[in-house]
Formats: sequence, C-alpha cells, structure tokens
Amino acid sequence: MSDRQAKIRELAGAALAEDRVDYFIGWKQGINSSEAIPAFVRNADEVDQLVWNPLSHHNLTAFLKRKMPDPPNARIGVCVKGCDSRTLVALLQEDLVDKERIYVVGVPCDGIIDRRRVEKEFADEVVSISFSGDTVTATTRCGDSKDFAKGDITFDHCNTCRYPNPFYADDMAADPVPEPEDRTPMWGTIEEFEALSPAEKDAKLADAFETCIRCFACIHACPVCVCWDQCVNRSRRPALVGQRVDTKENLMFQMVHMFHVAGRCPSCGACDRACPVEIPLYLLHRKMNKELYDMLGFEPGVSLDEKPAFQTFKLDDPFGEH
Amino acid sequence: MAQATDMRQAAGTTPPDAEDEVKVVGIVCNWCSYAGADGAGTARLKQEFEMRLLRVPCTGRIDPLFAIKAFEKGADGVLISGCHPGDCHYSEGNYYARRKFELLDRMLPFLGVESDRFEYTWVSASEAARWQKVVNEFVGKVKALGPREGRAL
Amino acid sequence: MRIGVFVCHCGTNIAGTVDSRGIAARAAELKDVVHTEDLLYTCSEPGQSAIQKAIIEKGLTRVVVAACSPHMHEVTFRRTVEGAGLNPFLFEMANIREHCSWIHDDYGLATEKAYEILKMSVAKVRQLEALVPNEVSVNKDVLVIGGGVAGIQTALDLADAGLKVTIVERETTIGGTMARLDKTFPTIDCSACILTPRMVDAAQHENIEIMAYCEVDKVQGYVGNFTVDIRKKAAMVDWVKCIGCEICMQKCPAKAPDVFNVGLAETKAIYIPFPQAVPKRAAIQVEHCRWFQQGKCKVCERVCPADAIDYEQQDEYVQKEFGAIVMATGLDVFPWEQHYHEYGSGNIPDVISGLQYERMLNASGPTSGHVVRPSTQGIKGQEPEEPKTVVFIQCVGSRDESVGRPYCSSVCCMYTAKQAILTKSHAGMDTEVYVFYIDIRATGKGYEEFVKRAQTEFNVKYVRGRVSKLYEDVIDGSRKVMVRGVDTLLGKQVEVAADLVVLASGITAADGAAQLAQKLNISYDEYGFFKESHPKLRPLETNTAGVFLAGACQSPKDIPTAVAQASGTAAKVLGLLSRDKLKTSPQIAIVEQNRCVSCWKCVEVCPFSAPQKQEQRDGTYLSHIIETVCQGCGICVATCPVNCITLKGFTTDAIIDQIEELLLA
Repeated sequence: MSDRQAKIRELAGAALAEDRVDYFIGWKQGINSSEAIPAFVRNADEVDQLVWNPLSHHNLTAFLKRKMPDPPNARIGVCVKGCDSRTLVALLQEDLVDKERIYVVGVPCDGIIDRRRVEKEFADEVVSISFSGDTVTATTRCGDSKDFAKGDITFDHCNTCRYPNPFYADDMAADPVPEPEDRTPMWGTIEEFEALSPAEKDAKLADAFETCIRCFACIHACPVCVCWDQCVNRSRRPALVGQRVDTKENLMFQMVHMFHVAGRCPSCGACDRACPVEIPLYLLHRKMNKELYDMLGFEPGVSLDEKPAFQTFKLDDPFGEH
Repeated sequence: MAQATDMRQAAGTTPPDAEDEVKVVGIVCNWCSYAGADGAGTARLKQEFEMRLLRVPCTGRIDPLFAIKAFEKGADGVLISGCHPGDCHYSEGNYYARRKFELLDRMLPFLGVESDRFEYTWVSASEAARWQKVVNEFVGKVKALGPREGRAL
Repeated sequence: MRIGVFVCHCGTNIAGTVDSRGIAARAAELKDVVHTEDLLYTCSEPGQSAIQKAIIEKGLTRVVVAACSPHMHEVTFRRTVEGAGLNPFLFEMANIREHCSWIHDDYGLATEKAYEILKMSVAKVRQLEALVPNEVSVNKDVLVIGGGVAGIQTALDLADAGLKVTIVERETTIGGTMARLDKTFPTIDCSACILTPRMVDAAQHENIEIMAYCEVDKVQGYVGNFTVDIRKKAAMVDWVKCIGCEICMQKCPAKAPDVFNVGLAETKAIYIPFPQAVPKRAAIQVEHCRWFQQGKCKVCERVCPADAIDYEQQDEYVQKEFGAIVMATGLDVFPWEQHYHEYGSGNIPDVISGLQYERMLNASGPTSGHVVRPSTQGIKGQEPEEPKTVVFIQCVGSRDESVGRPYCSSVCCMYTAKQAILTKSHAGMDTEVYVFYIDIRATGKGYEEFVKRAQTEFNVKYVRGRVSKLYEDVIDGSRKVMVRGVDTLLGKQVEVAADLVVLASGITAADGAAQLAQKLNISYDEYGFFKESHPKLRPLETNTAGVFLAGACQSPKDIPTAVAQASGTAAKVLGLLSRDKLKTSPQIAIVEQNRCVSCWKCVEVCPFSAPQKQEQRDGTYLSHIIETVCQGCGICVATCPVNCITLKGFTTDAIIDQIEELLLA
C-alpha cells in the first residue's frame, strides 16, 4: 500500500515539476488519521501530503465535472481507483472531459473501508485508524480501541467489485491487482430488498426518503451528474420536482437523479457515501445497473468506444413487443 | 397472474365502484396510438372507463419521469403506447423510448409499484381492435390490483 | 388569462352519451374560465361563428373545444380562432367523442370522464403560448416512386403543369401491372393501346425524367425539402449507349424465367421485358448469365452494335432534392401457390393465375394470344391443346381470412368476367366457361352491365360457391383438372372436369412496400398498403407532410380509380407546390441557452441533426436547434437532463399539469 502511495507522490511530483499539469488531485489525511479527504496539490514540493489507504473513498473525478476546472483551461492530474475510472470513462464517452487536459494516475485498489461502520462501533469519536496487513485498528478520543478484519468493514460494492484496476489511466501507481476471472457482475445486497413485498418496499422507501434534507450532496458528489447549478431538481420550471420537501417529492428527486445518470452511472457509491442522513442510494443505482445489464448486457463506463445506453439504440433491442 | 386475469374478465367493462375507482393515465404518441384510439372510437369499440389519454408527438418525447410523476401524484396505472418499432413517424423516437420504458418497467416493482400497473406497448393507427384489447386488458389488471395505497411513490 | 370553453353535442354523437350542456356549465368553475357554451355542431358555420363571437365579445385569450379528435378538426378550429384575431396555437381540443362518447354506454360515467378530459385540456391550454410559423423555401421538383399507370398519370399531370418530375421505377421499364394486361374492363379495349402512348408521353416529356432500374435508398428532410438517395442498379449495360435493338437478347444463349410473362415462357439472361418497354434498354440478370456464373460467354458483348455491354458496372448512388414525393408503388399478385394447397400449390400445370391467363390472352404474349392448356405445351410433334372447359375461381387470396386476406381485392370479379368473355372469343363460343364466385361486386360505371353481358350474351355459367379442391384425374382417356365445389344456390355439391382453371388471384401490396414506407416514415397497414391520412378528409395524403399516395399502393384499385386518384394526387401536389414558401409547424423544440450545460445529449439523439453546437462569444459552445430542420418529435426534450429544451405546444409543464389536473381531482 505504501508503495502505491509513494508512486502516486512520485508521479504527481513529476507532473507538477515538468509543468504537465496545473494541479494534481489526490487524497490526503483529514483532520486526523481516521479519514482521508481530497487534496489539491499545486506544487511539486507539496506532494508528500498525498496518501493512499483504504480510507481513500472519494471519487475524485467529481472534480473534473464540466465547468468545474478552475481556471477553465486548467490541466489537471487526478487519481482514480477502478470504480472511479469507470465514471471517468463515462465522462469521456460523452466528451464531457477534455482528454488532452487531464493526466490520470490509476491506482489498483484492494477495497475501501466503510468508516461509518467503524464509527458505529464506538460511543465517542474515532480519531485514528491504522492498518496492519488485513487488520484495521480504530481508536477513539477516549482511547478505546478495536481491531477489525478489513473484509468485515469494506463497502458492499467493494466486496462484489469486478474491476479493481482502472480502465483508463496515463500512468499506474502499481502493477494491476489480480482480477476475478468471472466478470459477471454481482449485485450484493439489493436482492434482500427485491424480495420484499410491494408494501414492505414502499414502507422502507418511505422511511428512507422521509429524512432527505435536499442538501444535494448526492448530486454534487456524483461524478457523472453534470448539470451543476442548472439541475432540474432545483427548478420550478419545469415543475418536475416539487420544491416542498416531503417523502414523495424527495423520492421523485432521486428518481430524477437516477434516470439522468442511467447508462452512465457505474454505481461508484459516491452519492451513497455523501448522504448525511444515510439514505441507501446504492440500492437504486445498483438495481438500475442490474436491470441494464440484464436488458442489454451493458455496463456503464467500461469502454471508451461505447455510447451511454440511453443515447443510442439497436433496431433489435431484445425487449418490448416487436 | 391467472387470478388477476379471471378477476378482470369478471369485471368486464362494468362501471367502477366509487371506492375501488382506479385512475389510469395513458400517454400516447400522436401518429400511431392516438390515431389507433380514434379508430377504436370510430368503430365504437367499447372500452374500460378509467383510461385518460394524454397526447404527445412521439413516445420519444415521453420522459420516464412523467410516469413516475403520475404514480407519485396518485395514478394507479400508467400506459405508454406508440408506433411499432420501425414505424416511428420520426424514425427513431420509439427505439429510444423502448430502452427507457423497459428500464422503468423493471425499476417500478423495486419501488413498490406492482408490475401490472405499468405497461408500454405499440399500437398502430390501423389497429383499432388492438387498442381496445390493450386498454381493456391493462385497465382490467389495474382494477384487479385496486387503488394504490402507497405513500413513497 | 381568459379561457373560453365550447362543448360540442355533435348531434347525438356526443350528447347521446355525454351531458354536453352539463359539463359546459361545470367548466365555468375552472380557474380562468370566463365563458362556457355548448354547441350543437361546433364545426358547423354557426358553431364556428359562436366561438369567434365569444372571443371578440368576451375578450377570450385561450379557447378549448371539447368535441371530436384533434386529428379531425384541430386545423379547422385553429383557423376559427385565428379568424377572430387569436393566435391559433392558443387553442386546445378535448377529444370527448372518439375517446369517450363513442366507446362508453353509461351516461353518468361518460359525462364524468368527458369532464375530466375537458379539465385536462383546460390545464393544458393554460400552459400554451402564442406561436408563429416559420417559413421555408420550397423545392418544386417532385419524385414519383413507381412508374405504373398511376405514377405515369401523376407525373404527366404535374409535368404538364410545369413541374419537374422524376419517376423512379425499380424494373427496367415503366408500365407496371397494366403493361402486362391484355384488355381492360368493361370496354374490352386494348390495355397496351391505352398505356404505351402514355409511357412514350412520359418518356418524351421535357419535364419528366425516368429513372428506371433504380430504387429509393434513403429519404431525409421534410416537406418542401426532401433529399433522396437513389440507387441506380447495375444493368451491366451502358444505357446511354444501348439502343434497344434486342440483338443481344436474340443471341444470348442463357435462358432465364420470364417474370414479365409470369413464368409462362422463358426469356434470356439479357433481356428487355416487352417490345414497347420505356426506356427500351437491356439488362443482364446476373444470376442467369453465363459470363457471371461460369466465367465464359460474352456473346452479348460481341454482338452488341452499340458497344454497350459493361460487365464491370456497379450500382451507383445519386442524390436529388424534391419538394414532394408521390408513392405509386402499385401491387403484386397474391402468391396463391404458398397458401392454397387445396388448389395444388402450383403443381397442377393447368391451374394458372389470372395474371398468367392475361399474358396468355395477349397477342404478343407467350402463346401469341392462343388459349392453350399449359400441360400440352412444349410436346414435340404436337400442337398445344385448346381447352374446351375453362373454370374461373374468384376470391383466391381475397376475402379469405384463412390466408390472412380478409379484404376484397376489388378488381377480380371484373377481370374474371372480362377473361370469361375473352375465352369465348379466343377459344370459340362453344367453350364451356364456369365462374365460381362468392358475391359479384360490380360497382363501377358500366360494370354490372358488363357482368350481365358475360352471363347472357356469352353464356358464362356463374356458380355461387367456393371451390374446396382441385385435383387431376383422367376422364375418358384425357387429363382433366377436377373442380370440386358447392353450388350454394342449389345447395348441392358440384364437380366440373376442366381443361383449364384460372384463379382470380387477389392483390397484395408490392413486395418491399413496408420497407419503403419505413424509409419515408409513412404508415402502412398489416398487409403493406400505405395508410392515407384520413379516408375522407385527406385520402390522397399520408400523415407525413409532403408524401402523397396514388394507385394500388394505398389499397386494391382498378385502373379508372387508380388514374382518377393519381390525377387527384397531382392536384394535391400542385396545391402544395404552388406556394414559394411553406409555413413550417411552430411546434418545435427550442433551447433555453442560459440553462444549457453543453452535455450534447440532444445532439446525440436527434434523428434529424437539428441541434447543433453553437459557438458563443466567449468561445464556449451551447446547443442550438435549427428551427427549419426540427420536426418537433421531442426526443431531445426527453433526453435533456436540465430540461432546458422546450417543445412548443407540448411543454413538460403542460404535460405535468395535465397529469396533475387529472389526479388531483
């Protein structure tokens, strides 16, 4: 792991030193070692703040979203994990990111841990998380400490990950990690939800969406959601989504997001992780991808030559009446 | 499914009970299905009462979110109908629509909406009898399920 | 906003099931509705006047008419409101007839439903905006697809009126089905004597270009401005050089089935279908040519006096611009062999189709006009035998649901009567002629009299009933086709030993009609016949503006009807192209550029390339829709994630308001 971190620093340093990029986006330690946060590095001598560890969950391609680069013509270096690279590919498929102005460092990934799960094991604040082999040790401000097996606290989508190595990168931070031979996608916990009765699903959705505060964190964290300040979810014209915050309109709000990223969202989970009230958004997006795979054998963001599923069609698409 | 069919047949085109009244929205393309429905009217082909049609130029104009909006606002069933693949007045609209509505069709049960409450189909301008059949079967299925009582969607 | 609501009784068509007066009164409670009125016939002059009067007197700014389908009278009422000074697009129709009164019986419920339909329309009209049509220049050239009698008639009428016409014909000659007919009913005048001069007229007309052996490959554009890709099929003969002398055809050693003569004779691999062909040019049927199949021969090249043979010729594509397109693709004969196994599936030589018999009767046909039994042809040292008993069977591939053809082919009763009469005149009055029929449909001018003549003057025996089976048998040492059927008038089985059986095979749409319809985005029915816009109001137009219909491509027709329709269509085309500018529908998509996020999904999905990346002052690009290219389908609107594209007349807010109006009730 530290090898990858060192390589990231080296590649970022070289890109900055050689003036190939204006700035480099990676991860750095947050307020303490219990979290990693995005880092914008502008000088080669600052690359030592960059880290790589199982807390590096942020999908940094969200910062490449159209109209975001600052200044507008900036050349940007960025780190991507396997899942992040699929959102990058999705953006490239639509020409929403200028390939010529990005420098991509791919990071093979062994899985990211769900810090929220760790937090919930303690009464007070987790201030340190350290890694030793497959053991994760978390310590709180009061000094309570607990060891976890990494596999127990990684994200659900990491446990079912089929693409741990980036699809698209200019340079790699390490040799690719072994990939599963069977690339058939796995859909994890959505099956539990699928098995519920309509009334039970309804009740669960109502529970989840009642708490949405429309903070738009899901939208802003989503790398393929590109409308930014023009998002129709904020708009009163057309009045697709009511601006009154209630359960139904909250769900409608997520439906808009879901259909707008359908065919481009590889369920990277950024929205889910960003949600402050822990609405299980991954349920929607992974179900959507499961059905898209079933319909078309389509997986978003795995090929630069492909078009997003809803911006093309085949005359003999194998569903519907003919 | 078989049971639902039986109930539908039993229901026939009898007037709805006020309590069990269902609301069904049909969004149809101007060129094929709307004209097919016109043809069914001209031929006096009797149909279930509950269908209310909304005309758009093409199924390609229909955002799946319209159907979701309709459910959110209390629809008990939503039918989308357009030209048969290959016959779109604008060449391609129904091909795009087919993908979108197939996904919607698959997502709705996940959102607590029974699959019989949504359908997308193709009825041409010359298929008056088919339109009657589509409407009666679809509304029959929705009636068999009864009004929705969900609160999420 | 001041909305006026007008509810139609349509006599009792609506008011019989819907309380038109009641819902008009109730509509007064809807927001912004300031005037309501029920009218007996809203589309009539008094009805339209009432609307205009109310607009002026009450200062209405929006109008809703609850009546029939907008497909019926939307245009009518738009004109009405415009006549009273209101923008025609501030009008909406509620369809309470086709979608309500005609499909329900319960007065109370139908009334309730009609009111809900009306409410949805009021909700929509509130969202409408005044729209002004755009104008586009019009290309005045016309494409006629199909060079049969209907296509020729339309082309000549248009060309005489001064328009440039291109006829695209997929065969090597124009003439179509009529060129294969011997005589025409009910006058028994010579088909070729009527048609071939018209063919020559077309060929010599300064305003007509005939593109034979060509097919329409692709159609783009819209009314007034179609761009058509035409494939010139390789004839392997340079038609500029070919003089139609037929020497190649005489010398060619390779035989090929004679399609023109419906397989009754053989032609050569290099052929000209018939002597009066226009253009009279040879073409090689590659699949039968020795040079192409076996790599040796080249006889045609050696004998051609014009040096026209070109074995290297390839298909060529040309692109042409037209303002209007006329479909005149005609018909094919129902392939009875594939469906009527009880009639021998084509394996009994003395059972032939009506079109084959037509060729047999023709003096320049394969038997030089002699009526013969095909089973006795081509036997050495023996003259072909003339039939003594001829049986005609009607409705083969017509009015027969068991073969998927429930419709009447409309010409078979008449051509059978004609052929029965001609049988007598060719083979002698003593020939026994029977016609098995279901009903006789002789509705044209002089038609019934013609059938009567066949029965009385020519003693043709009409037997009402279907033939259940045809089979061969030897009776008194001679081979016969046994016709077993029923005479429903006598109520008994009948059996006739025939020498020749002629099946009045029905009409189907031309092969490939459906595929062609898809290229032009016009509707067609389950049999491949093109669909007219409205059977009574717009019978010559399709639903695609600028595309018209002539002849049997729309439905089975006889020659007088096809020609009359073709001239009618020419008048329609002239009406369209008499204007220098065409008003385009203003119900198109427009981009609200200050909200565009340049995601280009609209550019990606538009079938017409209407959205373009438009450079802005700051060097960035935003989507812009070219008004005259947009067809108003709304695919981009449903794809645009920010919803910054608006489809005028069908805005997202209008659709949502209609849904909400219905469901909030």
